[in-house]
Amino acid sequence: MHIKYHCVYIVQRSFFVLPFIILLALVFNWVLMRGLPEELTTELMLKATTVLSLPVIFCALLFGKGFHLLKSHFLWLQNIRFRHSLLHACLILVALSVAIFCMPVIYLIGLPWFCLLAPLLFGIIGLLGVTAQSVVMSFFWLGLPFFMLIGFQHPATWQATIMLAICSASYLIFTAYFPNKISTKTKNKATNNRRRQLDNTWCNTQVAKFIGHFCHFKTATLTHAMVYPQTKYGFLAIYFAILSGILFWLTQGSPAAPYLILLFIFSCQFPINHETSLHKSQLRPIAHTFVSSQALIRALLVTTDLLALRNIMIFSVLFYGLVNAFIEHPIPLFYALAIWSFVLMYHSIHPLLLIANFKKITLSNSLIAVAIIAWQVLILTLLSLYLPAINVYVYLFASLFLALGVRFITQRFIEKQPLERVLT
Amino acid sequence: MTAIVEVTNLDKRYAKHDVLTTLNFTINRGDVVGLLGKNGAGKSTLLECLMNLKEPNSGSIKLWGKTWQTLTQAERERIGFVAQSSAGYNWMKVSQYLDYMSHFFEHWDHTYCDQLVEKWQLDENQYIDQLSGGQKQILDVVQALSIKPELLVLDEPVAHLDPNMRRQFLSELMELCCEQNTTVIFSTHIVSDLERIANKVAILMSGKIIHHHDLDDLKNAIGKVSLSGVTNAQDLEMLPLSNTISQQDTVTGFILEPSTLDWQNVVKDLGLSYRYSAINLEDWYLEVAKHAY
Repeated sequence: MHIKYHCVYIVQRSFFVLPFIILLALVFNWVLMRGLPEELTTELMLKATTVLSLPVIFCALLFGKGFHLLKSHFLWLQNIRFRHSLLHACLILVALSVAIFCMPVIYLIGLPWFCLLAPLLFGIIGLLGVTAQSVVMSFFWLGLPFFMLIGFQHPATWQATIMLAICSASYLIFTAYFPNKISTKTKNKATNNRRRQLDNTWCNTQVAKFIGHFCHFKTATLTHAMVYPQTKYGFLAIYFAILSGILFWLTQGSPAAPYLILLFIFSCQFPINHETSLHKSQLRPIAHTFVSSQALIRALLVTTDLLALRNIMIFSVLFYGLVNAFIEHPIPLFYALAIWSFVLMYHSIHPLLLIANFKKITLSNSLIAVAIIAWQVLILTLLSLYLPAINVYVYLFASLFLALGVRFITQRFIEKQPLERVLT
Repeated sequence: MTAIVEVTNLDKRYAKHDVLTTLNFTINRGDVVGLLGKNGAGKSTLLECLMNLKEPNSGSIKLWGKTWQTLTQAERERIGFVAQSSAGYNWMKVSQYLDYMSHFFEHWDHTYCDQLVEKWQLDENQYIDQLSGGQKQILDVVQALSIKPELLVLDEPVAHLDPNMRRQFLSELMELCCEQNTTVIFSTHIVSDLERIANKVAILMSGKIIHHHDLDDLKNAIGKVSLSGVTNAQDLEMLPLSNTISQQDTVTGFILEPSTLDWQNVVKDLGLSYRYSAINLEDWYLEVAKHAY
């Protein structure tokens, strides 16, 4: 029973991002299945497994956040049943992700079943590693699955990589189940970890404090009430652009790279909504100075729109600059248009995200998620089916007008909502 | 008396749970109203409805005789609000936060703000996330007072302060409000705070304001009465007694609200003897709570 509650809690914490990952996984698995020849070489098998591993890793990292929060509960240190049931829940969730994302494709394209091992191991490393005791170790474990993926793609290094993954995953599982057998200092460390996790925005706040030195409010806007300064200045977009540029360069045309870029694009925009949902209650002392609730909601929307656009501009310019400088192959048209569609989709449904509760599965949240997924499926299906037959410019304009239409409807809907629903 | 706040037939529901039901309430200029109520009684909901942060299901709220839709910008900026949760803006320093907030209010008084920061010993260079819970509340109040508000709405403004600091802070806060002739409504659980600074008291229970009295009138009226020689229970219906307990021919009860009735003479006319003892506001509140449920 406890395992079920833990599973539900962890999934709830990633509720709003999960649909995006599932959708992207579906699209890319479909592309993968269409693109692979009948006779698979070892290299192709490894690349296919890499693509299959990606959604599992992202899911594991997402689940890691819920795991992190439960791990900060005092029972983690004191109650072995709590600890074990939480760990069982985590492992079950990773196994489920592997079963959902990988098993059907492996069956359909005839990959050997041992290909399931890689995503499972990478998932475990991602989930358990992200809750490491220090920030440095968290970053280390967070990056490890991605670097392993790079090693895993080459026929010369995949065996060594899988051995390394087995060792890392075993170490993490053992230390999680039996913390006292590894170090006598674990309890202190875990207590510190708990203290740090009480404020799960600790890292963001520290960066914000540093950048805050340079903030002067000649004319104050809502921006600082809603997001951290680094988000305002697009640092996240710079970070993701550099990261995706490096990955694109390292993998040189790997099917995983464009997939990652789409996720990075998403990552440039989504944190703005997430931060806004955390911070918008800060507006309460000044909310009454706006001429009406609608004016405040409109101001919130415009501010987050501008921030997302700024992020996407920074990401695009830097990423294309990096790609042009280091890579011979151009980015396929499909992905360029998918990026364009993704940006438009985001802005058209963006108002709905203003009232979404990122921590709960409720009826209204589920409806918003369904609406978002349906919208994405429609656009991406149309794009993949009709791309060869339509003029690119026609597509660009048609999608723009469609997105503007949807945006008009969603914005009107949000402006009619009571302020308490938006500011809560 | 000019009514600053008029609440008429206010209803507020969360899903199927009625929080405020046909609530009526008036606050006059210069009043300092303490709002008492149990946890979950709807104090914060009422204050947030007053601040237009929550939309009532029905009823009306008027400030200076106007609805929120018709208030001018200048009038809106004359309202100070301290929410129950603390400041936020953890990455800002105290000075940055106040500088930031000042841009949203045209009549922000920078000199006065600096005086308050100094008076309440806030370190301008300290980050907000390094402040204690109490200091954060003080910062919120500084922010609300720096606009020299005509109406100040405080939602449990001293819940995190220690008793010494609370007493000092509240008395200084009230001095400042008196200087500016500010109308104040504040919610609290701490009856002694209310007794110290408010001139009106309101009790919110079962979604309604069940008592709204001048504090001095209330303190003069309330008490515990023991009546001896009671033979006819119907005699007691004439008296303003609540929560009565009978034991043989003695009845003990409470007077819980000011009344125009001269009850001592009525008791004498009935040929009963009585013993009266005054009760403090906290006992009064407990008896009212008992009576209401």
